Amino acid sequence: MTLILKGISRSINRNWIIKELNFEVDDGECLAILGPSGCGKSSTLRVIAGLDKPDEGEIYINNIDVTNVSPVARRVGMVFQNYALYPHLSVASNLSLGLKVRGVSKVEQRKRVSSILSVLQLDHLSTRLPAELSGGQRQRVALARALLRDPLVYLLDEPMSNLDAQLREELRPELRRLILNGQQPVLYVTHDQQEAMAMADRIALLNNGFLEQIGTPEELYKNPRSIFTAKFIGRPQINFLKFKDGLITAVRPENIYLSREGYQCKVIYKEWLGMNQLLFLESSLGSIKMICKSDLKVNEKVTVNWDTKDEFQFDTHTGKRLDKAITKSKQIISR
Amino acid sequence: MKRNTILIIILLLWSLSPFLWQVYTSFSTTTSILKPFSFIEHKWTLQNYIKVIESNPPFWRYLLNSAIVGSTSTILTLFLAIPASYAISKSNNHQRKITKIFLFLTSLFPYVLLFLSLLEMARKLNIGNNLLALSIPYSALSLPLAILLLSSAFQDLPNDIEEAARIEGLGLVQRMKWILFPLIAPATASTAIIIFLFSWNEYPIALTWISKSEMITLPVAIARIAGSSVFSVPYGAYAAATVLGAVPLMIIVLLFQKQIISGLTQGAIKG
Repeated sequence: MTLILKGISRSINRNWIIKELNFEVDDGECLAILGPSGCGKSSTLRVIAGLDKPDEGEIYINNIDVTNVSPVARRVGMVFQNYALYPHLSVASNLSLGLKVRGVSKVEQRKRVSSILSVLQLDHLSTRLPAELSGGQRQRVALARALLRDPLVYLLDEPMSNLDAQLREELRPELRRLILNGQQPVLYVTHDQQEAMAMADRIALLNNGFLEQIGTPEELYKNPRSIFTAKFIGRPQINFLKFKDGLITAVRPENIYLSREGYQCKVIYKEWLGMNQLLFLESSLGSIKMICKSDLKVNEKVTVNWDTKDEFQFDTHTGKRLDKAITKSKQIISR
Repeated sequence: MKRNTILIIILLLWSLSPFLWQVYTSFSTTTSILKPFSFIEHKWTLQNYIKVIESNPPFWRYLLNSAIVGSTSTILTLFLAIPASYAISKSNNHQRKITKIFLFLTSLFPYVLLFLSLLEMARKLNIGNNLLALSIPYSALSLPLAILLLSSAFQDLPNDIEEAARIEGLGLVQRMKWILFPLIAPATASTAIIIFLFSWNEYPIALTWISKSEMITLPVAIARIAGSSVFSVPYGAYAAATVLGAVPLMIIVLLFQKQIISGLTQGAIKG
């Protein structure tokens, strides 16, 4: 089973919400659609689900063109950000309604609902109304509903953004076990780059409706093609340094180390992260963040450096990555 | 707290006193009506009620007529208003605003100005003296307000819920049946009561469209009682008739109290 998007564009009032999206999600692959709010992540999902029509382009599910097919016939399983459970129906009825309208027999409905409830450990809640459930429980009911749809493609719209951090971590393995390990392609929309890196096989980074870069989390982290990608992937955020006009040099905080030679800096403040600390440094190049194990004091003077191979060079105007072949001697520029 | 209680009592007296006065009058003899609050000589009686109930045609006939017109008007209005409201809630912002302004303006129109032309139409179409035909103008007049109330109820429903249902395979009719109707039930109940009240109380159209005495509705019947004698106004019987006419309404409102309040305040929380 595969999902293919070919040149998908959608506009609202002559503004392009998404433009020229091309990508493919294979059997059992999880593609995270990542980007800041308003970049067109959810719109992409809605177009794939058939809730909105694209202005241009085609969508294929299992090599069948579904661009003009109704949401029902596309057979997608969607989990909404706010779960979208039917507020007037009990958990069990929430799950069985879809089966009922799809013509599943009463006996079969009961069997499938009770088996999915036990898989998700919701048995004891089957008579409750959604309002009587906690956020995590609602989320699981929404997952159960998508699973019962027996879909060709899973679409998850910020499935965990309404949960607190601890619950999110608890639910990740469950999500993997139930959905990501299946045979279906999964689209996972999120604005949280860490979640995308943790859950997805590949990440499609969207910027203002355009596909900025697509690749494995590692590719995006190690080989960003633009300032936007470099900035969005990796926390703490990458350092941007200006050595000369028209060129931006970027170095990740985790690649900066204390050294005898290099750049003179002063510690402005620090955040203690447990296994290490994040230092905010002031230097002649501007402010620099670095991850450091040793315990430094605020206002302490330090000298930092990094390896040339860990540098990324970007064009200031286009924001695009410049040829990796560009060599630059730090020693010459350093003062 | 104390001040609020006093204010509530004043408010209650203000709105309830005319009705309480009617109840008091309806149980008083004609002579006692003329000298209210003379507690020593005051004479209580059921005579007014007996007179009203035993009239020809009997009073329950008018209640039944009004109930029939009220129910058919309510059903017809809801039947037309629910799809219209759904459509309005789904149209774009611009269209929705314009439609709502027009609906609002029409709902403010003083309908009394229409009754002559309506009568002319009833004559042309030959639907005078037909109880069910009354529900046509009643629905038409109730529609703007009904659509306004119901379309904001539809608008208040989160879009996601309906979209989830679409993805699950529910067509429009199934979504209406399983998702939308149950969710807008409170708004529908309060709208239904408002329509029913309007048709229950409506006078000029009912007066002009219906002339057969076994077909007249409650307000017309009550007016007839008031004007039945040339030389005096039978206040006692008149009061008894109004009390009897109000009782069914009070029962309905008490039964659906919860739905009416939650329906009327819907949308008050989020724009």
